[in-house]
Amino acid sequence: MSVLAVPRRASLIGWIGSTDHKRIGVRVGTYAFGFFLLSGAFALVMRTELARPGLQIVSENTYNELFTMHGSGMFFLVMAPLALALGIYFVPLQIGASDIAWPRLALIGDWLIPLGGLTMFSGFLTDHGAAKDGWTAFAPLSDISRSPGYGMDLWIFGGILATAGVMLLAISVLTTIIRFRAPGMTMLRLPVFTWSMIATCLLVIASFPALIVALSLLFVDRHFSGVYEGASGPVLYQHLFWFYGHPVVYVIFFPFIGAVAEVVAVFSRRRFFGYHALVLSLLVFAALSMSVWAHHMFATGRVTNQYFSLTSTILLVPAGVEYFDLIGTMIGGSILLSTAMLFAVGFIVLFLIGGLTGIIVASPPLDYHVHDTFFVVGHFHYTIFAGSLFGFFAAVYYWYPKVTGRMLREGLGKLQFLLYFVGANLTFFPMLVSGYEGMPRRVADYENIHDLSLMNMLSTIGAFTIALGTLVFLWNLRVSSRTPVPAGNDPWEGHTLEWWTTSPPPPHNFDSLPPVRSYTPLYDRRLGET
Amino acid sequence: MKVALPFVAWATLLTVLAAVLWVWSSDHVPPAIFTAAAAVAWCVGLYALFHRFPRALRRAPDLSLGSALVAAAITMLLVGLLVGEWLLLIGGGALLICLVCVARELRADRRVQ
Repeated sequence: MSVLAVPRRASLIGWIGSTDHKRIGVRVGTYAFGFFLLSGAFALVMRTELARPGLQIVSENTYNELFTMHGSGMFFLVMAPLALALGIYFVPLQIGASDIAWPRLALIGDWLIPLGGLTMFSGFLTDHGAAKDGWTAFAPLSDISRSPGYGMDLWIFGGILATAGVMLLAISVLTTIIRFRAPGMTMLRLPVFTWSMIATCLLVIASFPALIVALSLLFVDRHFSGVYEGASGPVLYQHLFWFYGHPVVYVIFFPFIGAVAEVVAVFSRRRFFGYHALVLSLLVFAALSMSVWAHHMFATGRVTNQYFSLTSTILLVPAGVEYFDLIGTMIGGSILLSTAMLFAVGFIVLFLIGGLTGIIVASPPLDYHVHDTFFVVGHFHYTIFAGSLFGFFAAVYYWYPKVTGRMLREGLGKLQFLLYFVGANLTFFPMLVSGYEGMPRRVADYENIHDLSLMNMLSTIGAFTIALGTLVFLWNLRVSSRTPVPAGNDPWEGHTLEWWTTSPPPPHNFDSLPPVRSYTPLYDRRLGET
Repeated sequence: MKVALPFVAWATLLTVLAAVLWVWSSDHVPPAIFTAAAAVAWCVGLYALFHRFPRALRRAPDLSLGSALVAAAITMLLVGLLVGEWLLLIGGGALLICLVCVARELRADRRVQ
């Protein structure tokens, strides 16, 4: 238990230095969304460049900078921070805590992320421009002779700062769950979303240090000595990088599947089906996802293909359990197709495509064919954009009323969903086709062979459709703030403790708590009343 | 279910997967990295096993400008490696001042409790 000091008046200092977990969550979410808009704008320029063969909207050098900063921004500054922002805001509310553990540490992490972002993007202001080696910055491409200038160094520092920031947030969330649960909130009464955050934080704490080591050594390699030299140097870098680079995909998946699970249960008007199986599958999934990193390195010929192919394929089992639980919750439920539920269903459908195309790249003989092609780009965009971002928007439409006390407009939300769903498939499915036909990734131009021109034009149209959907969302936020519709404490008849308190919650979160006898305390209470 | 059980189980699972990789892999680097991660997982598991619940009311801060500025100071220190000694010195000084501020906050918190 804890008590908060008397809240101070809103001020710039209060805004910068507040340790309230809700303010930290909103801050992280806001600037992560800002970086999403910036990195998304880069994607639009790239898609315009690729719309037709022979087009030269930007130089090849600029194109390289754009895809590097797009990927880096989306991973380091958008998706991972958004995942932790949800956790830092909602985990204390879901477990009945009045604040977070180690709030000062979380505050440092909160500010390290945008400062890392500014450091990274400030590379554009340097003589040689921003980093241009892709978000992976493989050695030796990223060494000082092939990537001269401060842009690459600033990228390294930005990556280190943002990664460290996310780690500090994860430590705070995990410790909060371990130490600050409300009376009666045993581990097997934790809400599904909170369990998904446990899996997320474990992954962050265990795998993110590898990136900090990899990037620190890269800086040393660039300026002092040959850490990544010789035949084994680049392989060492790839091992360290992918030890972070694969788990991060699950870091930006688990919180959103947790949020989707909450949404599916609430809008199916029933308890989440298969709770215990889901908890188990999340932990197994998290452990296995730590053991698959070198499937990104099959083409190097320097990894144990059998082990990494086997573990990558076994991932299907916990993933299947989670899908089974989600669908099982909907079966027999009284489904309400709200915007949040539409995004949740969109997540389930689109992430499945991402997962199924993952089987192809998990198999060495097939991976050799599609390695470094647009197939891989299509695959991971299906998981990260079409999957996780849909999960994020399901969470936004579900929890926005709790955060602000206002409703978002359902009509505009459904329009956004439609544009996103059509746009995502129009953008990323042609990438699978063009990649399979042999179009390499990270190229500013291409030959008009097969139907590459058509596929790229479709992708470009899709990208602008997604951009239109984003504008609709921004318009929705504006309408909601200009003409607010009060949400009340519990507009959706939620199942978990965050819906017990006011919207937005007070600084100390709860004035009182209901008895907790299951993972759906408010659902139990409602059943008791009827 | 005991709090520590999922964390210890998770660490055990990572250890088993790392052990299998030690057996299977001819290269020492991948299993060594994996073992290091398993060790981190064990640290979390042991923390969950031996932590103590806060017994009394705890006074949590609502504001800590010093902590926020620690992040800025660390950024200055890192960028100072590129820009020059002057920024390194400013960053170092700022970090020192911020840490003193945070230490004073922590001492004040303890006094109130």
